[in-house]
Amino acid sequence: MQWKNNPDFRDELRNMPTAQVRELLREEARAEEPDGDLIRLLTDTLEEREQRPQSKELTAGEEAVWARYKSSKEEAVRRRSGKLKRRIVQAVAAAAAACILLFAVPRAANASNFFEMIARWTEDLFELFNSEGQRGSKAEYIFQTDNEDLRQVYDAVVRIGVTDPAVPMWLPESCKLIEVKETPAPKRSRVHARFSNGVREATVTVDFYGAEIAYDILKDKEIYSDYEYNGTVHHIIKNEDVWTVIWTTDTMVAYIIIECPEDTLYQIIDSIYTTEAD
Amino acid sequence: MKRFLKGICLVLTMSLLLSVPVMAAPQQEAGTYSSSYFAVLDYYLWLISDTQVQVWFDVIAVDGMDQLGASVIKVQRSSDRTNWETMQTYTPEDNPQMLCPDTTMHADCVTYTYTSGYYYRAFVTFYAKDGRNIGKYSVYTADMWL
Repeated sequence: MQWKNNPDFRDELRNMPTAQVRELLREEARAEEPDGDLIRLLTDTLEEREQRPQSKELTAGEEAVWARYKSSKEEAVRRRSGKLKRRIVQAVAAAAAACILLFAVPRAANASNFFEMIARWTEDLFELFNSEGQRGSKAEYIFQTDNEDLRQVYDAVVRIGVTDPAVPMWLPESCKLIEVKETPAPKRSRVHARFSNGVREATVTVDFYGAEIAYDILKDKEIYSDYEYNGTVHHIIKNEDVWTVIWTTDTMVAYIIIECPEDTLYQIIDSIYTTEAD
Repeated sequence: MKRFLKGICLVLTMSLLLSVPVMAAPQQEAGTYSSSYFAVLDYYLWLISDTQVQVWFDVIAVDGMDQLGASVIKVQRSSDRTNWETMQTYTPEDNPQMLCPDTTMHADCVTYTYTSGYYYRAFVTFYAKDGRNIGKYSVYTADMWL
């Protein structure tokens, strides 16, 4: 019973906040060996306070408690104020960053606004890297070959308006260009290139329709295989030793007709989509 | 445009049903045989005015040919799409543009003046000559109400 040995305990109790007195009472009541004298003292103290008329004047102890409370409250306010300042600074910084993103960066990226810039970025991403991880798109299609014969064909194909990959960038070295013809028809423009290896001829033909194509494809022979590359399905048909490859885009139909080994044929098809990056 | 689309029929890759090239075979009806000469065929009617329609034929061969194109074009008309009457026949003798020498590709047309109120179609025999060997393949265009 330490409280009994403390001569100042009664004074401390008198200045103790009521809530704390109640807490002491609760603790003592729950103790294994409750101190009846202490319980009685705490109870008396509480009763005395309840009977005491309410006064706006605080006792010295209450003033001390109030001072501590005020002090901690002010500290809390100061802390909150510091946080607020930091938040304001952060908000201003975020707003500045947003302005730069929305206005300055799009201008630098040659876009009128942020959303257009994002759209361009995503378009670039999806166009540049398709499901097969290959490059190749209308915007990115750049003819890359040292073969001057194929260069002539490419130039003619571009002249009639084709923007899709349509010309192989590689053919067997034995294939030499004989002629490139441009032939118009009511529904399309055509570039037809003839190559020869001295024994047989090979041709590259590109029909540009300029509008979305709607037609039926009728075949009287089963397709040898469908070869998908760069997101495009190439129908391959074998006629004796001669391969016919046909593929379409929204506005174009292209054909390659050549006699060659099968692996060479796939090499030719793949070369259509070769770019500088490859 | 609808008529145009209706008239379009893109035919691909005529297969080898007869491995031996046909030697100046007599004219056959559509699809009765094909040869190893033709890789791509395209044929359609193209309306150019209220009174005139063109029959377009377009062929790409599997190799260089001495002569390539169409040997016969017949314009036919019908009121019921069942019974067809040949109105005009075109041959290279009267229309030399139907055949092109020393080529792998040929596309051209003949023009027909029609009477309104009928269905029209064209019968086209594609022709390829390589040395002494001749290949032919016959088809009908899609019909068109004019």
